[in-house]
Amino acid sequence: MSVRRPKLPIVIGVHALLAVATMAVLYPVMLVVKKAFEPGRQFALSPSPIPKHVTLEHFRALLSARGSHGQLAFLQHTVSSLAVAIATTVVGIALSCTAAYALSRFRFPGRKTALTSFLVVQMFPASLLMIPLYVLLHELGLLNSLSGLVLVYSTTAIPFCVWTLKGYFDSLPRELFEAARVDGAGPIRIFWTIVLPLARPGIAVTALFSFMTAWNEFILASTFLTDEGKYTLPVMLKSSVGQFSADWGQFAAGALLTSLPVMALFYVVQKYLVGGLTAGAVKG
Amino acid sequence: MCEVRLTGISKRYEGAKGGRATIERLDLTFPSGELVVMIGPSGCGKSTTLRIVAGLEEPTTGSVWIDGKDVTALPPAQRDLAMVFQSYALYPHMTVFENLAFALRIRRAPEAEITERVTTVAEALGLSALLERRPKALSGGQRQRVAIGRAVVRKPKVFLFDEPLSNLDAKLRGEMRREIARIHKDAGTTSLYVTHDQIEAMTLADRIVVLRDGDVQQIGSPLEIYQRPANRFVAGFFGTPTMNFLSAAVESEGGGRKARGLGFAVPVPGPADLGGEVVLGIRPEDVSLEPGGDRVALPGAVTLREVLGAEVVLHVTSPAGDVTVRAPAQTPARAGDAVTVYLDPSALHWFDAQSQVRAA
Ligand SMILES: Nc1ncnc2c1ncn2[C@@H]1O[C@H](COP(=O)(O)OP(=O)(O)OP(=O)(O)O)[C@@H](O)[C@H]1O
Ligand SMILES: [Mg+2]
Repeated sequence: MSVRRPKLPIVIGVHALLAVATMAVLYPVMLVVKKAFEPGRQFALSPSPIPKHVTLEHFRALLSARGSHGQLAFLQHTVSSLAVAIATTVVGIALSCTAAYALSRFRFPGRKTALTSFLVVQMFPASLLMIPLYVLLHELGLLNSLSGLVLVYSTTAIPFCVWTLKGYFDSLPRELFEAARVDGAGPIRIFWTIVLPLARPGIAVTALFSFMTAWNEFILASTFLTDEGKYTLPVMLKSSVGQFSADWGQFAAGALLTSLPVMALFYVVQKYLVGGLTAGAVKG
Repeated sequence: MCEVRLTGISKRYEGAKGGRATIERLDLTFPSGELVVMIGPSGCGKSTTLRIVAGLEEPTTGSVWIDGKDVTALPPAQRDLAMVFQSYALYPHMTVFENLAFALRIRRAPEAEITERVTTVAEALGLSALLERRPKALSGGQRQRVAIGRAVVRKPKVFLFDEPLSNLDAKLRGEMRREIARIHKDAGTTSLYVTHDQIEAMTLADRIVVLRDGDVQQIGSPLEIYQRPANRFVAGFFGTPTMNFLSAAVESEGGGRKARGLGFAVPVPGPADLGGEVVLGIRPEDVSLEPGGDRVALPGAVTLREVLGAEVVLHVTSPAGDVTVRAPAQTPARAGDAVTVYLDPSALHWFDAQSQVRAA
């Protein structure tokens, strides 16, 4: 079969459309980048994304700002955010891998119900669950604690992770499991030695998702955390642009720094997004 | 040494259409140390039977016996058998060495023994240079050898092969066939081998089981199956080109009986318990263009001449139906020529037209 090359006008049209779409996505980001490097607290009204003067003043101020106990505030909030995001990822992945394996490979009473409820649960936005979650955390004495936040984030991330991983496990060739069973492996060994290594790409993707869920989340964190010292980065950033004093320069600098870990993670994970690991398992 | 026995096995898949059972009351014995080939058309239940023996599929009724022990309730891991899959099913994230060692590691064999056994098997199968490679860096033939090696290295009680060669090209298939024959001869392990390739069946089998729709049609040595097919289905399944079938009716004539079809008549062999409609089977190599002896003539015309090199295959239409003839390469007959074909009466297979079962 030969692939026909599209005609020139179509190529130009498609590229123009893509360029416009890219601009639409990138322009606001560029304005933030501009603000982060431009002197002054106010957002300039100029639509140009190129700063006239460049300074690292905002970064310096942000990183050296001290909290009420003289600690480095930005560092402290970064640690809070990292702790929450990493714990959420670890808990979420551990639980959803095992759940997805069971749902993918075994038939048991309640399997359909579990799958459906995981799907239905995802349809509710987190803000809708805010009040019941608040009550639950209060009962558990986990309000205003990072572990409470981890609990909330894990439970919201798990349904998505389970579905994604189940889809991934389903796609592993059935014969691999059968070969392992005939070779004498039990379900737990198959999970460790066959499923987990082969599902690395799927796990990487869901881990990234869990991490991002926790790292970027604002509404629940700002509701459940009352102690300023425990704020995660998004909450801290928002609180830095208060009603009366708004330092948009520091805000922009903080927003940029906050997005770095996610970008780094994307970079690490991208090879898994592309490559399949099962090549060579079965014929072809 | 170890015998495998199936008693009263039925298998009905959930949600199968029409609720028909894939296998219905199957009783089969696979004698110790023999290589038994199960053959039959696609969908007749060969893989299902093999998977029931392996424990990958639960029979709806009946029991599986290995070495005199009822293993029906045991998981595959506890049946001590090794299986070679059509799709190879190599562990893609492990090296060839680790693929071969996997089952031994599960059994906690000492590291020295693992290395020794893997090396020995790798050497025998010509895999020594490939031990550090991953499956995706292997050719189809090499993958197949790893899959076979993975089974052999365990020294199991029983080997199960599910169409292990069907993904290979003709030349490799021949090589691997001889390889499997050699392995079986050396180890003498009871082996169940599923295929739908009659050449594999004829060359490898100590015994052939012909299946159709989950029913055993015939069990016998390759020669028995070829020379005395139990019914018309088996007769048509083995042999290339396939056997010719001619309809005839038995009638008494003078002292003896004759089977008369359109354009020919043959005497019925003495003791045959025959009457009414019959089907006569004759293999293309038993049909000749030369008269001689008591051969029976049948007039016809050549419609197609296929040159195979050492011989030609002539397709002839006759009043009794189409007849295929294997003839020497120098045979002059061309498409369109009128010919007379001669049937060797002693080579005829007699089937009852109603039941399709062999009568003589
Ligand atoms: N998991 C299953 N669920 C439902 N029906 C099945 C299942 N596996 C096999 N079957 C049916 O059972 C019948 C026998 O299948 P089986 O795989 O044993 O055939 P086979 O003889 O191995 O055929 P082939 O030569 O094509 O491999 C087929 O009609 C098939 O559709
Ligand atoms: Mg099959």
